[in-house]
Amino acid sequence: MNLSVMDDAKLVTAYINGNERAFEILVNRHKDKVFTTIYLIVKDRKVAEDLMQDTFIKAIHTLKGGRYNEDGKFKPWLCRIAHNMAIDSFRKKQRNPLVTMEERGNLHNALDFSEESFEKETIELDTKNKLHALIQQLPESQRTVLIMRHFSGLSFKEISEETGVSINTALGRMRYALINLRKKMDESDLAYDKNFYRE
Amino acid sequence: MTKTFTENDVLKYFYNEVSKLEKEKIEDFLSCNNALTEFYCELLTTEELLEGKLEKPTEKTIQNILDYSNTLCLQN
Repeated sequence: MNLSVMDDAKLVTAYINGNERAFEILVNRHKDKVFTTIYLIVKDRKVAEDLMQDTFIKAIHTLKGGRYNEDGKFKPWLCRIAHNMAIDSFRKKQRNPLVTMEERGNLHNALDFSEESFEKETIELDTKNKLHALIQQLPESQRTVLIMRHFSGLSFKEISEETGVSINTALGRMRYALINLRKKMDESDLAYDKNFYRE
Repeated sequence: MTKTFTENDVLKYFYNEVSKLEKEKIEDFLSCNNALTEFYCELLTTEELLEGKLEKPTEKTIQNILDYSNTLCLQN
């Protein structure tokens, strides 16, 4: 059976039964969304890499320890672990602030210096940084819902439970987050930047 | 009586958080409501803008995670 076409629930079962390849597919399927969720909260690539590992290690222990009971909801569960870890880390950092190289705008920090793709990657990274800077400008309540819904893939019901607000409030915050983000994009002309669109 | 839908309903529809029946009703409603259709189009465009902008972890981080899982597997 081709594992790569299996849904998450089946892959989780296969992994719990000892199939390491199933786990590899799960990791590769969700790594970017999980990592983006963390990165947008902690705003530091190195910290995000560490928290990404911690997130999956926690998931591994829960799965292998037979304590996983989120049948069919692997991605929201994983993203919730990532989100909680990132929030904990962000709060700790707020108590003990430290300015990193990345926050000083060191563009090269995250680049893989392949000569052929250097220019393309630089443009893409620059565009991404601009978008993420705009997301950071949103009010915290709106930013949180945007990250949880869009990047973590949590449902509005799950967001309302996580943040302690009603579903309608979560929906309203998401609506304002998207409207405000779009407005900021238009003001900065980023919405017209062709690098923003997928090829 | 025809049910009126709001932007919040369209948002739930956009993120596939409505029942099949509700989905059909919202689609019917969108077909005759310019303001909500415009809102839906805005969502689609914003989604497009956001979707290509995922950050990627390094291969080393991924390998560390897979190695960790493999090590536990070998121990058991």
